[in-house]
Amino acid sequence: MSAYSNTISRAVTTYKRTSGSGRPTLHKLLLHAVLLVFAVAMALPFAWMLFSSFKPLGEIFMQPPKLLPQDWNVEGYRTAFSGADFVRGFWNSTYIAVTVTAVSLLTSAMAAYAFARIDFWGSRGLFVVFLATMMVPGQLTIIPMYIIMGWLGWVDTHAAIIVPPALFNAFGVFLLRQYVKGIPLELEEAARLDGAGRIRTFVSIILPLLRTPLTALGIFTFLGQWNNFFYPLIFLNSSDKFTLPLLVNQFKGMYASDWPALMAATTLLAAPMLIVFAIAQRQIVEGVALSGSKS
Amino acid sequence: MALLTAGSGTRAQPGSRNHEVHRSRRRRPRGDNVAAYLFLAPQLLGLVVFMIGPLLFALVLAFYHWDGFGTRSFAGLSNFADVLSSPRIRRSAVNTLWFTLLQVPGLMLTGFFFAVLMQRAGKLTPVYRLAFFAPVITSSVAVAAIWLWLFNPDISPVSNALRAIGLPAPNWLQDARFVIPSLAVVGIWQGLGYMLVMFMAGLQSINRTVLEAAELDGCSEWQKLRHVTIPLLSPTILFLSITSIIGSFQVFDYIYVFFGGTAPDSSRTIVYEVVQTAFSEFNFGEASALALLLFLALLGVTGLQLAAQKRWVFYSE
Amino acid sequence: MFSHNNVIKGAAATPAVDRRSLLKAGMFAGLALTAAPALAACGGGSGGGPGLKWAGWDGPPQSERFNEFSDKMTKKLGVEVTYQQVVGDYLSKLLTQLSGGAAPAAFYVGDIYMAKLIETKQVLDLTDYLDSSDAAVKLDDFHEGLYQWCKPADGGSGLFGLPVDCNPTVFWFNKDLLAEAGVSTDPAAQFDAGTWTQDALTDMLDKVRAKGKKGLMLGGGNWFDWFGWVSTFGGTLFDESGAPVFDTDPKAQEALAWLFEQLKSGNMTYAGALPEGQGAEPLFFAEQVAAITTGRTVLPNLKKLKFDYDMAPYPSLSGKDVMPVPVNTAALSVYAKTKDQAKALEFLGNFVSPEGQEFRLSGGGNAVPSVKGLDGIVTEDDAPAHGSLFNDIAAAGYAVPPAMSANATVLSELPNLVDKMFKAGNETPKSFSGKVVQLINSGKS
Repeated sequence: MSAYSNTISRAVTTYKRTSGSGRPTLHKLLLHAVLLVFAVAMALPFAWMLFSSFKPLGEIFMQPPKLLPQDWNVEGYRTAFSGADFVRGFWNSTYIAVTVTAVSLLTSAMAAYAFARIDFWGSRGLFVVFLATMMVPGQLTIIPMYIIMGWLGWVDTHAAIIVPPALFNAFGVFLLRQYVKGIPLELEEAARLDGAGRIRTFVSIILPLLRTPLTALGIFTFLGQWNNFFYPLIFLNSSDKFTLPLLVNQFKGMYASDWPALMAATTLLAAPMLIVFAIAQRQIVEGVALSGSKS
Repeated sequence: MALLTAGSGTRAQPGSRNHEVHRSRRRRPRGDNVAAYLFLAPQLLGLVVFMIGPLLFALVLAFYHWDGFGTRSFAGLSNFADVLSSPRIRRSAVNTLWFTLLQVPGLMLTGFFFAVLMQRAGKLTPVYRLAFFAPVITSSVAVAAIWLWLFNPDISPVSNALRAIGLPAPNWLQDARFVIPSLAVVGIWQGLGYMLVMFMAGLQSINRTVLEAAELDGCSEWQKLRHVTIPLLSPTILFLSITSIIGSFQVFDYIYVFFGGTAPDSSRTIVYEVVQTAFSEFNFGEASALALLLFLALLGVTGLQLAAQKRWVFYSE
Repeated sequence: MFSHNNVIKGAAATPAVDRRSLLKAGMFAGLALTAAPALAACGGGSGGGPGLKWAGWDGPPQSERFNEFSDKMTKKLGVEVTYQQVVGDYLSKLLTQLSGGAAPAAFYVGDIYMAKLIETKQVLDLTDYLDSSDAAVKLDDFHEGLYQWCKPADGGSGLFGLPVDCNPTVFWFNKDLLAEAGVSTDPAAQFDAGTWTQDALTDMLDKVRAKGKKGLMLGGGNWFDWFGWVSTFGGTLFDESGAPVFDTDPKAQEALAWLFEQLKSGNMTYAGALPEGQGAEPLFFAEQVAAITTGRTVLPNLKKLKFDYDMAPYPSLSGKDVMPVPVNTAALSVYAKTKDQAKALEFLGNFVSPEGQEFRLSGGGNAVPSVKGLDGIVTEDDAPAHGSLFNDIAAAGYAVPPAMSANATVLSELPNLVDKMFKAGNETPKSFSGKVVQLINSGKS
């Protein structure tokens, strides 16, 4: 950080300290009260799901409802594990989500760079096409997709659900394009004067500066893949290839559901994402620190 | 759900090519087209192989009668006539609009509000963020189970609480007046975490020196917010509004998990009609016609937003 | 916002670290991209393949039984038989597979789309197989009311599916709740004594309502939710030609009048348009409602609960008869374009034969056999106490009426229409039935 901003920050801190000290404390209390109430409201349904996974059936629908189980019971988990190969499903979901995320981040960043920085023939029209793909419901395109996958021989393989989103991600391209446009051109000019080609510029200048949006995009891409249900449903037939959401949905029967097992399964599905987010959320904050802004 | 995620382009210039104007001495180097298409190659491959064909198929089908397996027959504009004259579909369009009007501003305002609050929450911020993010990762199966219970007029703690303080507890999902708002609540509940993360990223990217300079000038918190933060965040806001509207217009999952295949008129949305018409009534032509109309509507709405950006979206530099 | 100087410094200050990690990321991504198809291939063979694949929607624990059955059939048929479970929207997947020309050799078919599949020749006619001497099952084995919908809607010949099992709607009740409300003889006992009449039911519901609990829940607006209340009291729903007549049949109108009265008084409550198993059943589990009409599917859940339960048939005018009531059923069909028809047919025969059903449904199953004679299954564990009645109810019952299954739009519109009418609450039996009949007739195009 430059000396200049250090001076400023010290000046501001001093300024703050010398102003009235009573108000900040009351503000802080109110702030935390509001945040706490809403945090509880947001997390409560998830907590209910979590605790219900440890309840016997009778307690899940008990009136009046209680959050915590009276009769802690892992029957739900036992049924879930014996009914579905969660280890396998976990492995499938993980490697699919990681692969798609890693590859699509790269391909999206590349395309974003092209749209944002290279003045090429057809760029505007092509960008509109990218945007337009987001405006058609996915359920209608499933039949031609299935036929295409049939031609490729990819029905009942993971390739069918990895390759399309890894290669094409209009949303990611749109997002990253916005950020790339905000990077000052002088940087690239400087790099070019130093003799760097486009690829070098992309790798050394652009990508590092995209750390924040890449992290955010990565989280949501991973999440989207982790919870992806419709495409795996249609394209995967063999249960040893199923991803976690499919396994979880097994417990939701056509006419009657095995509630404890269902709650256990959905908790198992959600828990890893919570951990991933807990770790990754710091990246968003820290990623910005390197770009020169104070957080 | 995917379309509720959005980017924050604090330095963004969506759709504009202003920078070109500033560089009059810039020529288009010959290698540019090649370079561009090289960078675009993977995405283009995916687009051409997996998207263009199916999309054209879906949109062209609007002009045919097709039941999914039998023969096709040309329908001209009759599918469109059917769609536009069906009172149920008109109702679904109104529902969709109403849902969007409730969800998008609701999401953006609460997302922004909490992002601003959390910036000042210090050490506890990661914990709060985690709590707010929990709904995002809850799968639709659990969302349905939880909210069906919360919306059940008899056994829900919310209804019981309302009755305890003397307020009437409506039948949230069955009462025509409350269905869409109830679904919007679920949508906001689940989408808030996304908005929060995106706004926080955007807020964090705002250079402190600008804010500190404003403070030194004697600006209050509110003035800082109004004159510095929001304008600098406006490209983000525009981006979020475009993608959220696209997402809200296509809401389907909630209706399906709450009502299965038999959703009442007051809860149906456009994409729900598309899916029902195609898969339950075996009328793919009409479903495609409806999807095409939705597509055009979305193009229009997005175009309007992009056109209006010159008025209120602020690009620095 | 980026300030000019800071960014340059920032970018210049970090290249070393970032470039390395970027290189790593790039390598990993590249590796992943190349590895993905390889890993995917490891995951199993390509889409098509030898062997007989069949699909259904049941998950654990039924799916375990299905896998065991598949193993048995593998030995018997000499080809690898695999069960593919479809865990979500079954029809979307089936339709996609059929459109793509790549459906499994045999698959479950629900009542909403059987007619369409027959019309578009996606499923095979089973008549020849059933008539052949070495068929594993005969048409006579089945309860007659359960397979009419597997015939062509236009009245043509042929049978295109066989019911794999069924779920007749029965009157489940909470014995403890009823006892608390002062109901001295529970419905099952009343049926045994021959006094399970309409009045007995009304009386019971009144008592429960007086206690502040819900008496009986109407699960939805679908045909199997309320047709029973017409047919069980002697009303005629459809005449011999299959046309709907309940808007004119006097007994049907009386039955509807009774139904509307119960809804008005609060003895019966309409659960609303909720997904299957989400409306009335959780309330029943939570002991908030004394009775629901549904199939044997709730039994596994009921066994886990603490209150005393039992079942009875719907009440009748005589008090002792088992009247025709709706039976939920699904069929197994053979894909018309499958490569090995003979083997697929043999599989089907074995699946729906009495031996096959016994194998699948015993040991904690949640359905009732669609064939005659398998009494052991429904009385398993003596749960519920009157379980033997299931077979009688199934024998007398009817599956989806052909007049309705003929048109998919009618079947999907019906619950919506009824839902609107029940909620508005200002229909008379005449106007209500008139509108429903109109809908059914509109399907005849």
